[in-house]
Amino acid sequence: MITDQRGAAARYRQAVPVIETVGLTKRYGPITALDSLTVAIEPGIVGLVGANGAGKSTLIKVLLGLLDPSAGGATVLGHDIVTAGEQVRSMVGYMPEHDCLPPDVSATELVGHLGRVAGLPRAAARERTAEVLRHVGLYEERYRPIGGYSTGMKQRVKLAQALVHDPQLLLLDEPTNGLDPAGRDEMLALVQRTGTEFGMAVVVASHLLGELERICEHLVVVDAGKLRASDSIASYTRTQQLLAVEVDGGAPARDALAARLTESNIHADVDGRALVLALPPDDEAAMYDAVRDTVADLGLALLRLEQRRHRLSDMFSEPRADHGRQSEQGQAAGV
Amino acid sequence: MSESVIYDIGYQRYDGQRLGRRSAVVSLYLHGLRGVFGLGRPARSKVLPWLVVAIMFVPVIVLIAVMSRTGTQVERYDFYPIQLQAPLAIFLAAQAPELLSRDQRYQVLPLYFSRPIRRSDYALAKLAAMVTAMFALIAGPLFVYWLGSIATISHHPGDARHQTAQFALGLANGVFHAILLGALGVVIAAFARRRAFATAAVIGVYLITSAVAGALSGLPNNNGRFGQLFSPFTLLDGLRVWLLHGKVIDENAVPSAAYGIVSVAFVVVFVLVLLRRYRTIAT
Repeated sequence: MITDQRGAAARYRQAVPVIETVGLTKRYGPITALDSLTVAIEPGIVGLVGANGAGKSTLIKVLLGLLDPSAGGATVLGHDIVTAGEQVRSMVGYMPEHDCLPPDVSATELVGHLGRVAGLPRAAARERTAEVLRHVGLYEERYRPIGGYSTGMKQRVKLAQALVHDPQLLLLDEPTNGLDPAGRDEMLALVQRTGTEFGMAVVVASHLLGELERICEHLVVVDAGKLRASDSIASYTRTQQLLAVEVDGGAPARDALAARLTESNIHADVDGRALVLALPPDDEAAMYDAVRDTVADLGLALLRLEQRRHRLSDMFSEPRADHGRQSEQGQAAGV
Repeated sequence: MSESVIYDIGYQRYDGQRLGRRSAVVSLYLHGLRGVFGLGRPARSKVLPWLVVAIMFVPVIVLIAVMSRTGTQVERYDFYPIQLQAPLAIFLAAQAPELLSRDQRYQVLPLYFSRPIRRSDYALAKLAAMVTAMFALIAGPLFVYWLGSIATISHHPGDARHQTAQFALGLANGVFHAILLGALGVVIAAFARRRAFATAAVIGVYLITSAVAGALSGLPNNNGRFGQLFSPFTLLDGLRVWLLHGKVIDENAVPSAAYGIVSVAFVVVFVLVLLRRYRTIAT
């Protein structure tokens, strides 16, 4: 049984892109929320990252047929979103960003009902409701009205209703919204488990890059409705191992070190009091040695030499820096 | 790796049967119908609907008691919803928002519209649930009244046949009431995110149209009689008389067929407005 699931998952992962958009555009009056977005999203856990208002929610809603595209098109699991919206929606589970739960029914009543609206027979809906609520970690409280739930429990119910009909693709819009740090960790673990153990394709939209880094295999970055980047997490981080060096003596000492490093063909960026340089993945030791020797040659006191936890936000900020908007971006896609 | 999987029985893939859109719509209808009567909801949601149900049955019980004492029928079946318009109006005003405004207020619609149903399916399933609930509210007491009449005053087979024919007319009248009032309540509730606004609007429509119809009827030369077509009370009463008894109330009244035409026109307009509302509603 378990191997069967894994086998199916593996087969599924080799299949065609789960989402493919071509020139997808959505305008609200004068505002362009999606600006001819062309992207292919492969199976796996994929992060959709961007600042608030970048077009993440709009993209998800257009894919679900909740909004009509203004131009361009898209397929989800091989079905056209406009002409075959019902097929698309029968295979997709959606967790909205905002509150969407009526307070006066129990989780069991709501999730069972939504399972039936998704096409499950009555008995199957009841059975799966119990299963998914257990999967998301709701036990005795599932018989009580949702109005009395904590934010964390509500988020779990929202995830459960997206899973009840066993979709092939999960679209999660800011699943950690409103959760405390522990709740975030639990929700992320749940999303990761759902995606990896059951081979379900998952797209997680978030403005919190740090969260997506932890659970996603692939990142799609949108900004102002446009595609900024789409690549695997590994390929981002491979180029992003950084070394921060800080020496005593303030800016003059820092700049002297930078100049000497540049002479040795090592490019260093200034970041506050420190210098940041890229660590070549194949020969980190040589870089450490070179820095140590250069500092020693200049007779400087080394205060700090540390490998930076790779932060994708650093990478994404670079193209923005060309437009002189680095600090703004740092907050928008901040961790 | 396998250990955690063995103990995790929470989530399983589902390979079973998937029913189509029709089953989805039926479940939406049944869920709506349950909701109108507060079933599957906390006790406080049941108070008002079941209070109205109780009120609807009280006159029937009294009438049956009177029949068993006197041996004569004091009330006709088709009169029933007219005499109990107040509880019917209260039920509609309170429960149509329960059916529609609630999903808008708590932003539940995206959960429905991201599933394989159409927006029109949602709107029509809700309408059907409201109409069914209104009909049940009228037909239930009439059924008991019919049973009571058979038991107390039907001494010959002919009596029972007469009672049954009258009961059928009463049901037909109940259908008219349920469709027109149900559509009215649903179309108003579809535009209100807040329950209270929807309730006030439904009551407001009742009161204002009745007041206007009443005021117009006071115009000289009976010129205001057409006002009767625009109040649910008088429109439905005119429709009842025309369809079930084929007679005009009095010489100066509105032409009977007008009641039918206006009723149909209202229902068509209500349904079209309802469908348009859900086609364009923001999610």
